[in-house]
Amino acid sequence: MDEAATEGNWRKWVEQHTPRFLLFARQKARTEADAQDLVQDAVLEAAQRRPDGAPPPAALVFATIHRRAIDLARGDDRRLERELAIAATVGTSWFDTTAEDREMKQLVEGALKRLPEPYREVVMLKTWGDLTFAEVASVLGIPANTAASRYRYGLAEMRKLMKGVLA
Amino acid sequence: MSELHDQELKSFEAELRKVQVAPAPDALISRLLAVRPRPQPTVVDRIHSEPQAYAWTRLLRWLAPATALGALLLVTFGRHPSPPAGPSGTNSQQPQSASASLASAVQPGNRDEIEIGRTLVATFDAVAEMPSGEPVRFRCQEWADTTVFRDRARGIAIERSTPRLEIVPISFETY
Repeated sequence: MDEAATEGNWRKWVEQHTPRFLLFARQKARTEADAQDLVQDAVLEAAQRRPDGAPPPAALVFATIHRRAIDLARGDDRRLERELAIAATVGTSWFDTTAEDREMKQLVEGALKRLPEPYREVVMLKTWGDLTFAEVASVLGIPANTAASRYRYGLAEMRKLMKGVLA
Repeated sequence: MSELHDQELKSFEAELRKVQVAPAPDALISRLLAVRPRPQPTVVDRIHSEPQAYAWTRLLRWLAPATALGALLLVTFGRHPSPPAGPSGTNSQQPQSASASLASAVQPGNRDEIEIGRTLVATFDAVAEMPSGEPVRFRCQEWADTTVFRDRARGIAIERSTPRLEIVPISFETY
């Protein structure tokens, strides 16, 4: 594969997957800056595991974000408190609010944010990350059956929170 | 919490999938594009790149022995310079040049027989060592080029013997 084709593939891969990586990272990080740094570091780390220069599997990047987010959470408590205060004032929309159905997207985002994290991350990875249950299980380090049951529970809870807006 | 039936779950999931994820900031996209990994040379690439360097090494291997051989030949033939207008030929040039110098001392009409001969005096193999430590073998042959002028009328015979050393590299691959 020549250099131009490789660069084209990389650009296409970045533009396609980065929004999903960032959505997942936003759930893990306390600030938008941390979320973006998580994505960049995870993409770089995952890409370096491919000696052929090809884009890494999305599941590997999700797993790296998950692991790095855990490491980040073990950081300085004072720093976290300061970042939490900033995060409370600076809101970042998880979904595309510039398109139509803005109200619907806000409902989805609100319901997703209110889900307990174990369910939220499974719903996010399965629905918007386009991962299989096996991949979700691999990313989070849980059994595939657990991932499936959490997904089902998470969807039911979201639907309840949205009070029957959707089908 | 109400349970979802499979049909309801699929329908709700389909609705959720319609919600588009917010686009990533351009700054982040630019940062990720900038960190595009470059393919690292594989083992196969490295193996394929070796023969070129190896070919140069092999070429340079000849340089040291060839230079030594050239210097040796220069010293050997430098002791017996041949006249510039000698007859063509390689091996017979040295005896013929010697015979020409002797013939000038003998009257042309008096010489009735000229013999030119080559005698192998000695042969042996020599092993030299390259700077890299690789042994190189040479076959050394010591010849005696003999020229005899006879004038039977006067009963004169002039014989001249010239030593000559031939050094031929035998192999650079073995050992």
